[in-house]
Amino acid sequence: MTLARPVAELLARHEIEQLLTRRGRAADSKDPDAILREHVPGSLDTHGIYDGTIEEFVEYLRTHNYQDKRYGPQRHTISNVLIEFDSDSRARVESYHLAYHRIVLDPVAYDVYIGGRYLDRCEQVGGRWQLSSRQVVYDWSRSTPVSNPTTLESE
Amino acid sequence: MTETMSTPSEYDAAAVGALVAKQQITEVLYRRARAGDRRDVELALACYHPGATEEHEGFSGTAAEFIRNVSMISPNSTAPVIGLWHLISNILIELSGDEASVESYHLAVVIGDDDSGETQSSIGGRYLDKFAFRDGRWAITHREVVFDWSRVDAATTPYWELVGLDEAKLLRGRFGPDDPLYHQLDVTRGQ
Repeated sequence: MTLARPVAELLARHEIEQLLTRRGRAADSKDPDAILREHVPGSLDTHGIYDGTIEEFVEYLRTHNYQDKRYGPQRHTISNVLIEFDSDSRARVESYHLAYHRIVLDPVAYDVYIGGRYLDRCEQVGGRWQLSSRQVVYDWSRSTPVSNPTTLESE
Repeated sequence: MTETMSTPSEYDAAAVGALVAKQQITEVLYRRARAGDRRDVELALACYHPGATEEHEGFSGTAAEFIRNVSMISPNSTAPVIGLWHLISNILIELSGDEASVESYHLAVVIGDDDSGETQSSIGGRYLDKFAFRDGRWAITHREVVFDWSRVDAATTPYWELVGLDEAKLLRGRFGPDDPLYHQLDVTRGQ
């Protein structure tokens, strides 16, 4: 079955956007296995927190970040997805994110917003689009002491 | 693609065509945002048809004049701005043949740096655009920018400082060809 090129591209774009959204959900639910599912095994993830393979990064999150009481709830809104296809099964993708982190320091907890971008390379493997590399660009950030620490649990 | 996919002929061809048009219009909105945030004048111009007009922060004239000589991405700009970031959402497209009326929301952050120090302005606004399909592409023929709210704050402790990350290891956004978009993702400026 052959799809007209614009239609095939439309479907691929939709699937890549869904991939980015699922990856955001996996991060925000702090689910290491869900994160791994969205990446090609052995692919690179460069966050500036831990730079290495996705398996190493996820292990770092599991043993450090997710055990660290300073890191409260987080949320990533994804938008501005621009995709350049190198072939039917390879694409380079820029997307914007607005990230929220509750950072609990002693004695002050902060609401932190980060405006950034993901620079991703994606591959379609066995019919599924996955990330084959991800780099995070930090454009701006803003931290303000929480207005009412009791309205949001820190863990 | 997956085996559950149907061929376009099983759908109303016009409906699929409308979906493709909406995708292409959406990409123009994102490319226009990228053009501003990366200070890419050629890319900004490519988002409009020749003769397109713009009403933007008191300016009313051609989009080309606005981009080349007035806007913060103009090479002539003296605005003390070191960073721009435009997040686009809530895109509503009304198609009418080869024309379209498009509303989109933006959340913009403008990083200023002048004698009084670094500031962060946040702006919530909307683009009211007229699009047309000409010469094989969707592009803007008229843009009006609506500002719904804004606030200006002094810079705060950055995230990386708060949690003790090494800023030297982070990729930071930049105006111009030094942004990681170009050297890490091999995207070409102006397109």
